[in-house]
Amino acid sequence: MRIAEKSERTTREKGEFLMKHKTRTKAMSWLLSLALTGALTLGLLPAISSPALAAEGDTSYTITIPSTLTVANKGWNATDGISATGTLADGKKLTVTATSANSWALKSGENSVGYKLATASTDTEATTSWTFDSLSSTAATKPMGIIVENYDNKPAGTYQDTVTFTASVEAANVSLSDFKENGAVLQVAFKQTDGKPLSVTLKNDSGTVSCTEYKFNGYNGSMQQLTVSLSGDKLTISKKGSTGTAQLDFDLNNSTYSMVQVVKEVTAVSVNGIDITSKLSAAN
Amino acid sequence: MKGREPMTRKPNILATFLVLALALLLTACGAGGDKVERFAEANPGSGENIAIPGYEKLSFAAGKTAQAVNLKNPAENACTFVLTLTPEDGEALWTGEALSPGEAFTRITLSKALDVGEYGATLHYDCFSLNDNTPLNGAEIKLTLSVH
Repeated sequence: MRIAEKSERTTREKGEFLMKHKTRTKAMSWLLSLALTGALTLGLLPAISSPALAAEGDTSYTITIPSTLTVANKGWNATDGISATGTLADGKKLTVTATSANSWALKSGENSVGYKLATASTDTEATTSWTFDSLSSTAATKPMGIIVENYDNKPAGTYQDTVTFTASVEAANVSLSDFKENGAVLQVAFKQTDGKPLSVTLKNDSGTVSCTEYKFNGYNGSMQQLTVSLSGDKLTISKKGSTGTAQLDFDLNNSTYSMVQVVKEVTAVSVNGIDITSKLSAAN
Repeated sequence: MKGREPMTRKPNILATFLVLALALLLTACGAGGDKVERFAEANPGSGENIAIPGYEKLSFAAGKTAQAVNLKNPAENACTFVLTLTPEDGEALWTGEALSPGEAFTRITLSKALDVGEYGATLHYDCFSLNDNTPLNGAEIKLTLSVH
């Protein structure tokens, strides 16, 4: 603004022609300044206002906790429990633990009433940890309530405590015995004594095991050569071939296996997509 | 005199340009504080429960304090959140203002920039009743800060 006024005074002294010329020059200068500033600004703003990458990882979830733990009476007091929705990456589980600000006591001044979290009225031990092995858009709920000690002889007052629920996503602790669950998937890869690799993918459908994929030496194998069976805790995979029968016997409870005939080594085993090879051992 | 005018005008133009650029730069930097946006109308339920959003990982940009996030207070909650992000064995990187149901932090400003790497951290939720601001049960989310 000051520059514009000065420009006007100067041009009055120099005449009409010069005034028009200078005004045009000033206007062009301002336009140039604005254009340059605009260009600079356009170049700068994205770097400042879009500072980071996407904020959410592969796993996102929502846990629902009680806002307060209301005590209506001594003994068992139920809550809506702890629930969770969302998505968990493969091989992960969600664990929720609880801690108390007052070491599991409701306090009113110097007076306190002990309590514990539990899953049922009959629980004798406190429960402070809940695990969700899978999540979906439908809420999965774990029961939770509080068992409050007898407070008949306590003075009247407002007894309070604050509980903090801590959630964390961890690697799921999967074992071979998890294949016994309906819908579980087991993948086994091994080598024959002739060095040829073989891999199978098995699915447990309510106790009946079926093979969904079978590869031998890098190609789709003939299902007619393959036999799989589950009897109790014993899983058997058997493949007939020109060099002999390759058979693996798994003990699902003990996480052991036996190699029969032309099996040379077990190279990889996973349950529900989680590698458990290191957890297995050959039976004596 | 006429011949010297362009010489005096050039510094003026340059100065004007620099002042404007600086002003715009400062304005942009000034927007580096936390940013809250409303993603839904608040629809508080009975208030008996609190929905806590959880994350396994937050991805941050290295060497910057301003970070794009999406930290929500679900619309159905009947409480406000006060969020604090703390790295393991460290002082708080960020504490937000009270966040109402239906609102989300879309940008936060850390107390310090982070180097490239992965850091264990905790996102702490302090929850307060909408009615009387009394403290409610809270939550913590253990997560990983992935800094690129």
